[in-house]
Amino acid sequence: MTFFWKIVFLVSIILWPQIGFTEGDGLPQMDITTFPSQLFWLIITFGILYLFMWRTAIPKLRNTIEERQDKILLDINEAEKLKSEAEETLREYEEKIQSASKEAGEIINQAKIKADEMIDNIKKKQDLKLSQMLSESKDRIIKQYEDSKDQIENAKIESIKLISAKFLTESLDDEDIRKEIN
Amino acid sequence: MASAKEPNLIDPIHQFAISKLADIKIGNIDISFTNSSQFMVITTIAIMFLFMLGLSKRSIIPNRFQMICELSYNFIANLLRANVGEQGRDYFPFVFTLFMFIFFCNLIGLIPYTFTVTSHIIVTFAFAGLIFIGVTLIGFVKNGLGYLRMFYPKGVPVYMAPIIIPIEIISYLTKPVSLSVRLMANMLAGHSIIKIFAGFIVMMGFFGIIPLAGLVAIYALEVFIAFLQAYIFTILTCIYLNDALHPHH
Repeated sequence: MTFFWKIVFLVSIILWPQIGFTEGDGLPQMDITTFPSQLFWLIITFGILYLFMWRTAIPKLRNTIEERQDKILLDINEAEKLKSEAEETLREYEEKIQSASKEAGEIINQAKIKADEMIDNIKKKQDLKLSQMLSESKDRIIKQYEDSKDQIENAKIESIKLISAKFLTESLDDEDIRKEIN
Repeated sequence: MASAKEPNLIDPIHQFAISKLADIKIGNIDISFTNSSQFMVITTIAIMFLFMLGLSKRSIIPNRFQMICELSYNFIANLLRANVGEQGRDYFPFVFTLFMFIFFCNLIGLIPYTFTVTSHIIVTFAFAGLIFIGVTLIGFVKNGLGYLRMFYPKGVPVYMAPIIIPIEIISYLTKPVSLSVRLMANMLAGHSIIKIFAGFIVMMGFFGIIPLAGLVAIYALEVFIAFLQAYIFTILTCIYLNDALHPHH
């Protein structure tokens, strides 16, 4: 439809002097007397607009867009820097945790070794004491045994002396008795 | 005018009539301030207002108006970069102003009771002629007389030259004509159709709802065409500029 009308109007423009649209007035577009005025005002308005765009609007727009791009680039750089820093911190943290756990394990091992040593020492001391006490008591027993043996011998000698004094006139020497007994 | 005699007669051309608002003359030349001039001024003020609004508070995160300005800037910058390359940077202000001016003229012309500046052949031809002369000058300045080689493409046999060269010259010379007529005819036809459909609505009374639906559809199409024709005008300017800067491609 629009295409058809466009064709109609194009043909009309070409054949304008023969047909005419409105009682011979013709197309206003073909009125040559209006041309100077249109051209004059077109040059003025378009010129002003061109100057405005060229001198004011376009430089401002270009600056704004470039500033934005610069800002975005800067922000991206900063974000990347911060990201790498954060990654570095994370790595350091992990390393610290690893070394700390290693240290803790070592401390635990050392403590274990120390405790074992202490236990061994105490055991050894205790064993030493026990064996000392054992030998001391053995000695004491032996001494007592010997003492009591002497006492028994003395008592034997005494009793033999007494008995022999009853039966014999001469009193017996202690040494002799001992010889006889043994 | 016909509409004054017969009120029901559809006169789709009346909307393009130019009426004087103030008589101004320099010597014998009539440069009166007309409704056309009025809408040129309105278009210029509207664009400047939009950009002043968008650029008043320039921030990293743009508001709506700043977004409009930046989107249109990027749109034309990408267009120029894709069609001309980095050399096109110098011509960006002109191409950008051209696009904004034509686009706003087309759009403002779609508002009822307004005037479409770009529906007049002299306006579009002034743009096309300026572009044609500018591109030709740029071509000769950048390439010297080697620019003339454009009319005789490489690889064409010598015996074809008498045919090819006139054809190339004619196609080069008709560029401004096709460029200006395309924009003007689209605006003229589109607005006339809208007017005709609007007239049908009044004539058909209650059943006018049927052409009303058509009118809504055509109006939407015309909004699209308003953008499309400004875009086509701009992209063709870029292509001609590219031909002038890199004639051997």
